[in-house]
Amino acid sequence: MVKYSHFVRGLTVAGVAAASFLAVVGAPAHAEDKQMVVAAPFGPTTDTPDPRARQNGWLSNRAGVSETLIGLGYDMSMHPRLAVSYENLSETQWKITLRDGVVFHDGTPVTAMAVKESFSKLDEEGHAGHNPRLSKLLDIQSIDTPDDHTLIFTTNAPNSAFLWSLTEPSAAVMKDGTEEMPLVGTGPFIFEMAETDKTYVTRAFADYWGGAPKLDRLVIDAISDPSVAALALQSGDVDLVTNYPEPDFAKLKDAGEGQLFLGATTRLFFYQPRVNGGPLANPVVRQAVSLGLDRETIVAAALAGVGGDAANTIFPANMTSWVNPDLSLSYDPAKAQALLDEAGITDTDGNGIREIDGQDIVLKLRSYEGRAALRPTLEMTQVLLQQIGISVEIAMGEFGANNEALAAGEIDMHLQAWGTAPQGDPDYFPSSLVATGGSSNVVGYSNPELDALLEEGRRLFTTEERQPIYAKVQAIINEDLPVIPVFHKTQVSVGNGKVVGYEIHPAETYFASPELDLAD
Amino acid sequence: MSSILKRVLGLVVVLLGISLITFTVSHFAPGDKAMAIAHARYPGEQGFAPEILQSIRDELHLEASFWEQYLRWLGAVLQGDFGVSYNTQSSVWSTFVGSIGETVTLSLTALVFGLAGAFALAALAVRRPGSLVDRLAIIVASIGSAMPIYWLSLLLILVFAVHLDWVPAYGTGTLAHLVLPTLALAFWLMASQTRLLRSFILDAYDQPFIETLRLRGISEAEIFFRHVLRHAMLPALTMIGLDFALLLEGAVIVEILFARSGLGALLATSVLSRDLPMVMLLVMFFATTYVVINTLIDIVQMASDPRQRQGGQPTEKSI
Repeated sequence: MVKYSHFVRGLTVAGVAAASFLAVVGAPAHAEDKQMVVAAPFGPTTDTPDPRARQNGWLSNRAGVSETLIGLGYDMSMHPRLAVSYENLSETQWKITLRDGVVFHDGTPVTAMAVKESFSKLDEEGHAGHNPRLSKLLDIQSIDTPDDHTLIFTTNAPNSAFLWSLTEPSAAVMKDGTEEMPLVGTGPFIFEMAETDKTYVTRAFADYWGGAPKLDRLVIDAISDPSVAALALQSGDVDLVTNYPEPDFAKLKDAGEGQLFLGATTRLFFYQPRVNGGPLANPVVRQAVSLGLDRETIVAAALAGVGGDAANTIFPANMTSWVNPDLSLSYDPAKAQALLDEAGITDTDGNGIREIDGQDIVLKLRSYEGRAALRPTLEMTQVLLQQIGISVEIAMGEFGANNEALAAGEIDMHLQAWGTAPQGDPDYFPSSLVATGGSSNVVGYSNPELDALLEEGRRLFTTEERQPIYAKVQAIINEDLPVIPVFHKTQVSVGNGKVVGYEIHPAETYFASPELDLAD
Repeated sequence: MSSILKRVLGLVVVLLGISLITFTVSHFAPGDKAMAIAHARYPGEQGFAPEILQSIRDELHLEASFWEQYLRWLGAVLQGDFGVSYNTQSSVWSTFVGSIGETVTLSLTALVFGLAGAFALAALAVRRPGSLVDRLAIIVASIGSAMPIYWLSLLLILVFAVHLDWVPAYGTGTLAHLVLPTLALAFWLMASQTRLLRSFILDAYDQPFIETLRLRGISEAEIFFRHVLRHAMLPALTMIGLDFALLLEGAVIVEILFARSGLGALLATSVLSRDLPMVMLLVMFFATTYVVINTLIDIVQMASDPRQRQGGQPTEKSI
């Protein structure tokens, strides 16, 4: 019809040429040093994230830039880190002895005075390391430094969680930075640069007290979409994906392919029921709900069978210091039905739904976006509870709004996912959720026996003394079900086949070590 | 001049209205704002002590009345102060300035390539309406329009990063990092605009003056470039304004997917964490961009089309 083929041809050629130019000119450079690139779901929140402020320490601890005085082992017990020993002198005094030969990234020694200086920044408003939350947790009155290697911490009040709080990544020992070295830590890797929500780049610290790292550089890139992270691994852009999509992981596992890493974490998926009103105010209904949950099937459906372990108590099996191994939460729909029958909660009108006071039991369940497994867990719960004669309506909302709805009696259960012991201390989860007046006890649950146990647990200082207390706490929770545990999240990671020295930590806050390496 | 002044005044009214609506929605959205902010500040942690939540409420005046909060924000904005991020506690303006380059680069590159592709495809299609080429162009456009940008992006990564290993799968920093996000957005744009452009060009060819030009012996190439394209460009200009808004919307998904930092990714994280100062700045920016571009296009159209200069009614001359 018209003769303008030159125009069209020219445009096409120009487009192809431009694309080729972009592809050639912008091709990624191949670094000569031994660099590992890791894909993680979250990135730094600022370009210079001081590990002591807010939750920055989680990333810098993982990246091996910052270290704490005391660390958490793979069984979630305390182990020496910058401190070689710690001793409880009195109810309010703790003696910490520092490790010999530790130097900051700028080469200066880590002395008791330097540690004291680092902790003083937690209270210094306007300082990059200001952290009123941690300061409140530690509740330090004074720090004495009798010699270069000894610190005496005095707290304002007895605080059995003091040492556990020192394991929190925000309790990092840091020196004030300079323009050339903005973050001066003590870990095996030196902070090089960060871009908000994007990347965190480090290089090896040859003088690290635990030996020089085998890698030259470690880069942690934030890739929020797990499918893209998986493709980036396939393309060779990254060496390790720390949070691999569970269904893809299951396929690799079944096919015997890929370098797979699997590790239980302390993250618990659980229901918080409305115990102060509605059907779940009746403990029998709560027991029936728990017995009606086929936790193995939920894990299979929501996490492809690889992303979680059915919960037997609030703590995972690998948290050996605190888990009560004698407890279990079984799936027994027949027992659930028998319990309801015995309590007179039956289906009298034949519509398949049991009634209380002539009203069908219709539970309103809600969860929130942000963790992929929450929605399918709700859906599976709906199917499972229907089988014992309990009707369920499900919806997704927002975390805070769900809590308000639960408190107001608008919903019956809120499905949530929490790290049950982010600092290793067993007191955090029950004190927040089931203690009378607990910060997240929005349903007003109150059990004097539980309160007394938690109070006692906070007064005791040794693991041996506290262990039976928290074992009892778990038993009461399993019996009365002010929270209904569903499963513990398992982290799944996939490497490119060359990753060496990597193990998934239950607290999800440890990653880089001098042993981390890429095989040739 | 008075027309431009009216437009500027209209822009101020629109922006005030948008700011009020956005503020209202954010203010009255269900959920505890202090809790959402605490979650953003301390990711991964739950069960915040009441004192921590109260300190956030006090710090950000969250317990003040709606009007007090809105007027406090508006007063500060009028003095050029967009506030401090609830989450990162740094200036939202500096974060915005640090992110805008990524989005503008991506959007403009995609706009250029997308429109070039759409023009090329539309030009091919109208060469012989109803021919195989025309049908193929329409099929490509239809597939592109029907394909979600999320899926298209994954497909591009799979082909060009995984199998061909030509470009990186994600990230920013080099020109190569720009290729796949640009392709995803440009293809999306091209697909949505090809059919429209095709109909504009065909419409231009149907004008009676085209036959007159042919009778006068003017070549088809000259007719196309000097008359048809010019005629088709008038409605296309409006479309380009809308395209830019479309690209900003598409950039939200693409930036998150390709792990790029830009305004889209910033908007998504700010909305999720209820970071009101950042959300307000971004919404105002998007609204201003949208309104300003469309106003400019209206002015250009008025300047280039005599019918619009005279109130939009066709004149005797133009008939």
